[in-house]
Amino acid sequence: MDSLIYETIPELISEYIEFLMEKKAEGKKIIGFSAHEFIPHPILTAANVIPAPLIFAGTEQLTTAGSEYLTTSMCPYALSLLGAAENLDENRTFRFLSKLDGILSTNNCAADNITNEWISEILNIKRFYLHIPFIQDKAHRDYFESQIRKLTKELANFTGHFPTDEEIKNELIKYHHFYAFIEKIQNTACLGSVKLKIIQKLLLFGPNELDYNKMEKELEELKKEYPIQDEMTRILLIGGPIFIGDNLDMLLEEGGGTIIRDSTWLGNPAFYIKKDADFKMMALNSWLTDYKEKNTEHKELKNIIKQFSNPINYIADQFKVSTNSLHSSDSKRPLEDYLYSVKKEARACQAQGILNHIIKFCDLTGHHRHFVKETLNHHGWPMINLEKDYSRGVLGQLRTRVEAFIEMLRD
Amino acid sequence: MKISIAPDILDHQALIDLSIEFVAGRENLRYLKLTKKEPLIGCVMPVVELISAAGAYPVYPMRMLPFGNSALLKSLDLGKTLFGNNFFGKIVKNIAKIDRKGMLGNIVEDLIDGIFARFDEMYHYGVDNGVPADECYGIKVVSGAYFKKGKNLDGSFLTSIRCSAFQKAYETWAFTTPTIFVDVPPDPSEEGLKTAINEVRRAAKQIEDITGKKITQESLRKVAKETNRCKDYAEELIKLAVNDKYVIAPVTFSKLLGLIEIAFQDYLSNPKRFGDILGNIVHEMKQQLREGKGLVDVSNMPKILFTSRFGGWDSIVGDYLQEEGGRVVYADWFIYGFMDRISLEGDMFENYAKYLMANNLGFAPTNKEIVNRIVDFTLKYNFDGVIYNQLFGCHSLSTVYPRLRKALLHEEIPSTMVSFNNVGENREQLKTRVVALMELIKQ
Repeated sequence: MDSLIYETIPELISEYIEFLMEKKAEGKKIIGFSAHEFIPHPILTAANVIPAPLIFAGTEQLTTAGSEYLTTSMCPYALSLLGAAENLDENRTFRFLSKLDGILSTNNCAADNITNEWISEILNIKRFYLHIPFIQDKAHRDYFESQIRKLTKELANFTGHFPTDEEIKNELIKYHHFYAFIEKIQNTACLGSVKLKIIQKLLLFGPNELDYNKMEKELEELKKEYPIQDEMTRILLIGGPIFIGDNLDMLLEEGGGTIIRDSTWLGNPAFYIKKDADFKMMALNSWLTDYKEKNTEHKELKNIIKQFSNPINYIADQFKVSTNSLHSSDSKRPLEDYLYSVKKEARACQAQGILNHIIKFCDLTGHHRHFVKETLNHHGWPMINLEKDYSRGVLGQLRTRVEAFIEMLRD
Repeated sequence: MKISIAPDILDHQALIDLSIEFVAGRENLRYLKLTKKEPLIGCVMPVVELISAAGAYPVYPMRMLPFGNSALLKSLDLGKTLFGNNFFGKIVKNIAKIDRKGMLGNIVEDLIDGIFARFDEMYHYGVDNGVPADECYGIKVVSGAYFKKGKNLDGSFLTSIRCSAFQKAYETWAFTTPTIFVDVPPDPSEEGLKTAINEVRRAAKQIEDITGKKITQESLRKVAKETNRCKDYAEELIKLAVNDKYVIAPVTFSKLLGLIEIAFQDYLSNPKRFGDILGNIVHEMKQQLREGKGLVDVSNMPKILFTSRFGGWDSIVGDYLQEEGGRVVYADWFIYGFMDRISLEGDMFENYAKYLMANNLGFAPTNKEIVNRIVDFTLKYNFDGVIYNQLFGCHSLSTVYPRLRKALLHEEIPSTMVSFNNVGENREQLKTRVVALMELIKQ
């Protein structure tokens, strides 16, 4: 990565394509995925795969093109991906899709598998499937472990490299560093739109040969250049993420607010990250400035690594205890864990209000919207449900709603 | 134009039985709950076996609402008679005192309209109580029913399907009644089956805790035998539906099949009774076909498969098709794996787990697999065309038309797609598409 942040999307795409081509020249396979959670990245990277998260916002035109394959009443993000896959030559942002060697689909949401089923056919690339249970008890944890082992074998057949436990363990360590740095970004007093761009770029490139020392210095400079003004209203973002090319964060800042923390699956650490006190210390400490890739001497990291002796086992265990995913279904205590983590994060980042971003037709973020709002309001958290797609026609309406919400928070 | 089905129904004892079961459903359930103190457990898919094996009554929540003229029903004093021996005798005796054809005719005529009127009511109730407007008809309707009547249930038994909106809806329904959610992966591997068996045992324990009665190998086997019997009869009805001769008008047959599909969602709370009704319908029809009396020659009426129906549909399609010289058949539970028979040999919990796996595989992880199932069914019964019903707000189970159309064309079977949001809406499109499809077939 040339720098921590990107100025324009065309610039980002050029850099990204160059990165993907380099990795392909090294013999790696590029596998895309749209699933929001429960992707075991260390398994992929240990098997010589470069995971390519498809975290790009679509357009109205691409959504319409994609709907020809499925139906119009579907998530515009998913439909845009389809539309883009079909029209690679016409859309510069998505031309990196031509570099994919495979696609990983899951049942994370209804749209994931059926969209990627089409993408694999259109692009003529291999499709892998990972089934993610809805329930998180021991039996389903064991099943998820079997799914990860099956995926590992399939990836190994695809890339020609079967990862050892040691290799997966090393990738887990790498990802812990990676997400600790992302946590550090989240906790930095810098404009939300800048932090978002950094996180988006990092997730795109992944923890590949990162110079944390350089990145930390760059982060400090960005913090000075783009500080949060005192009068800006601090907003916690939940629900659906803001993808690359979606300007909701800018809309907020134009209205006088800023995203103080991205608490969507994009901003939160992956499910396999042990989010305990040791991890928090990793995120807060400035020892990252002295980071060396194989440096495992620090106490917090040593404590975390102790649990990686059987890394696939560890990853499955983390699935069982992951508490803030909307994919998971708990009919006994619907949303209790999710709402608890939202309230906890809102308190920790001193948010003044919460914005629940719902991409139209999204089941996971949209179904419980009224209940989520009522509950959070009841606990003293002002919240707005902001549902949108990628049509330009709604921008004016969105702006009005956002400005009204921020004004309300200020009163 | 809506075609009356009452004359057909009234000439067939077994069809009257089925109609009365629907119409009296609410009163029966009230009787079970309030007088006999029996446990009622909600379900929305045809997966009633564990519930019945534990001595509880499976209930499709919509059936806790009145279908048709409830004042009329009360005057017939149906509540206590349905599970007694002298069921129909008492009905006829009461009705004969007044005006048999007139009163029963009203009941039957009101039935279909009554069902859809309640669906509509629950649709709006669901939306008014927080179900997002961009979700499908099925979720809105069932959610409305849970919000309205869920408190009368002792529990709810729900199984995972690939629709993530349904998963979220289950959580919402859990606010109204304790929910037993079974998460069976659509994976017939050893690990998948092991998970499924574990889920069945876990769910069985939870249902036992509600009813206080143990589910044994025998009790589960007995119920599975009854539900298998129902499925056997339903399959006979599909064969009769694709026959060249009918004993009732095509539109009546289509509405009958629609009613039976709805009835399967809880086996009308009593698999044995449901099996008896279905058996009587099949036997009556076959008897009449043998006798050759009052038959309708439908050999020149193209057979049209209509799917997907289970998430919501406008039954006027049968009327439109009959006007254009066609006949419609509904068979969703066959297409999507719910009519697979449960093995009665060996361990019943394992057999039941395999059955639930079959349902999940029936809805299929991919659209390609669903399309294969629809095409296979179409070819098996020689349908002349397919109407694909695409639900507004569905982003999972009814998204297959672009793929389906190609696959059907490959087999030289014409098809059309209609969009469905709510009953009564978009009828112009429905009519236009039906006419166009029939013209294509006739060519």
